[in-house]
Amino acid sequence: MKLTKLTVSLGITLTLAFTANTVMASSHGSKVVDPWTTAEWLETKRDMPEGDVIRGEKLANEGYCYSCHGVQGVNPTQATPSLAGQNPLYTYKMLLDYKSGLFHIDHKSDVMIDLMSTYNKQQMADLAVYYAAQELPYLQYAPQASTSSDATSKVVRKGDVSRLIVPCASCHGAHGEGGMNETPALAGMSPRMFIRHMKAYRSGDRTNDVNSGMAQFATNLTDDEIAALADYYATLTK
Amino acid sequence: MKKLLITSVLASALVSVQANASGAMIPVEKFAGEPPISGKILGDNCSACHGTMGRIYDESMPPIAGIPRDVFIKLMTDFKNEVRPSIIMNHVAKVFSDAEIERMADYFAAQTDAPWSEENVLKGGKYE
Amino acid sequence: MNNLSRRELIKQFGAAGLSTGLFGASSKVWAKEAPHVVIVGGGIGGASAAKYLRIIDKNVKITLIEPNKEYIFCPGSNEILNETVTMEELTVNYETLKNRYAVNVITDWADDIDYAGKKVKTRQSGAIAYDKLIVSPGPDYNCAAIEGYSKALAAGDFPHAWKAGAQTTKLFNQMKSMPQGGTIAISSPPMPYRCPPAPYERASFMAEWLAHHNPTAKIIILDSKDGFTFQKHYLDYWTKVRGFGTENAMIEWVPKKDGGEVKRLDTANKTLITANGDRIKADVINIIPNHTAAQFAKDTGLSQGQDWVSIDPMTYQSKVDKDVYVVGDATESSPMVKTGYLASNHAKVVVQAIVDEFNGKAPGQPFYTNNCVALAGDDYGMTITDTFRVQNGKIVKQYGHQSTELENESLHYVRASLAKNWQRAFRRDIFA
Repeated sequence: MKLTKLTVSLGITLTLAFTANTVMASSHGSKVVDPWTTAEWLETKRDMPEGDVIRGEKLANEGYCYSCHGVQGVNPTQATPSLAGQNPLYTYKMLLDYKSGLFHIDHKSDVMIDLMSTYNKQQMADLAVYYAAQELPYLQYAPQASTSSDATSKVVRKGDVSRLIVPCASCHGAHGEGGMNETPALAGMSPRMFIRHMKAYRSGDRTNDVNSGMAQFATNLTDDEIAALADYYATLTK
Repeated sequence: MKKLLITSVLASALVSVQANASGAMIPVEKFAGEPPISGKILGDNCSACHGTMGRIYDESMPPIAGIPRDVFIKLMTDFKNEVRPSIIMNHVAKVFSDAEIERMADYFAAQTDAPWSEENVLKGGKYE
Repeated sequence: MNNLSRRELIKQFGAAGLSTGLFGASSKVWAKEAPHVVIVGGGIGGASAAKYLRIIDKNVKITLIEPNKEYIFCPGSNEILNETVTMEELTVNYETLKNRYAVNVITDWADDIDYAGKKVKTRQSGAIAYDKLIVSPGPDYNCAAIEGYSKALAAGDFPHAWKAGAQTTKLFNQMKSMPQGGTIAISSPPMPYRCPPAPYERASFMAEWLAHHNPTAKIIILDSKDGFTFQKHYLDYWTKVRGFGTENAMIEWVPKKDGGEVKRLDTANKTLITANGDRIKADVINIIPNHTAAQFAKDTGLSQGQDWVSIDPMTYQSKVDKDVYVVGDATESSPMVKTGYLASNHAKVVVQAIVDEFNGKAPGQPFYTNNCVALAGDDYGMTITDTFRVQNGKIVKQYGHQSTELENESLHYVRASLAKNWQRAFRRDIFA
């Protein structure tokens, strides 16, 4: 219907016009950072300092981490990810990617980028192992009505050859516990977080995965599939 | 004269009483004689940081639209009692009574958990 | 409820507007029965009123009268001076209010109010009839409080840049063209004025720019006050990075009791003369003038011969007419400070009170907060939160808190980051 079409295009124009304005304002986002090469990541991984859980706990308290990520890394809102039980390699890498500015989706990333400028690798390793030592917060975000289905679990367990999507579980674990190299745990992740990051991989706003290791799969997923996977992982238990 | 200015400035800096420094809080119970403030009027004071109706999703401050009622109450109560530290929220939260926190919880829990920029204002929009 | 004829509706909204309408607008917006709320002033107070009124009432007719087609968002505009924001980023227009919120925006000056006839007189758009009128005219500058200073000079070579726009750019260019080792003198006014920490934020940002481009330059702040908001933070930062208090200080601050109050401007010699008789010659002079309510508030009698407009804090109704509400800097709202944040929250209370009245309900209890994150530099932020309630019809400051932690570098950095996020969020809460 004519009216609807006009309304839609008006909405899009307004959104675009406004987005342009806000993107220009980002001093962090305009920084160009080279993405990881496999060699660089392997070297960084090999050189990761040995983290200390006690030191990490102290850092988390002094650094006000819990004011956004929750006490012991369990966030009661969907505003930022829970960190409890996360793969320490992933956490370590994320902190490095914030520090370098390689990870920047939108202004929401600004505060982490600014915070990380004052942390060194040892501290990042300490924080990573501290959070890894906490329990994964299973079933924190049971969605109202789950959209996941057999089709979803199929993608997780078997992937989709036609779209060159390997099974999610092959890297993220049979129970979403992560751990294959630097892949993160997804179990219990807030659906909003999950969708935001999958869309960011898909749109190219998130580029800190080594060799587009994640983006290559996100590229071919539909919005509905992403939403279903979000629900799937949010409700995944041991 | 310049030297004089520097000396006097230094002295002033050390001795002066700061204007508008933090003051003691009047406990909310002292205002019990006034009619209750609606959850919307209370909650709409939050929009400059948390977005219109709590629906900002792409800035560092978290969205609060659609937040579960009991989560909001726990968070605000923890902020108020300084159990949960914050950059600014402790001092925002401590002025409220428990009843006011509950009314704000009801208000934000009822909001649509999606960016305000996606809202069709003239058609929809939950605001009660 | 209003007497708008079809003829007048067409005059206001245009024949095209009437037939196709603003997309999705309730058809009631165009009906004769819909009450008409007129808003004078499209700054933070007026724009907030328009948007928030539409959110709670899909049917009411809303007209905004504003002389400028664009608004340069003033909070955060000091960052023009250290080049961390562009004019483009600060500039908003009224298209969103028009298209998304179905507000009729008239680009014109409002000159007077016919209270009996319930009409606003404009320069070129005739008399606009209202059921309720919201006035958000902002402050005006009493330049004459400093002998030798004037509005003409402010528009010329002595910009105050206290309403973001051309004067801000001019001030930046003056700083840029200053010779190496030059001096900037800032005259900071007595309270009340809009945005209390802003003169010091300005000095801080200018110093940051100078540190990179003109490291031997100096800034001297001549203050009509003995202290200021965030004084502890600014002095701490300036001591750490600008040599404050030493021979090589880039910033000096002269409080009133040390003779900082500026009494006279000698334009020929580019010199400020203080209450002590001290003469401060500078390459760039930035007088931030004494404030008073906008001329519109005076001309219409809203300010009743005073500096500021008296209001009923329960609803921000003017004392002059119960159908006229006044918000923002122009009001007498002590002990509130004058900030955009508060203007926006005044507006929210006003529109709720208006809609309540349309629906035959008594106005509810108001609530006003002022929360701000200010900056000393890109890596140093500070926070303030003020809460005001109304008790027995009077504004009471329930609580006021300024951030205190001075030693945690990480915390300052996070606050600075939050400040920038907050400025955008605040701008969007009003104009998007």
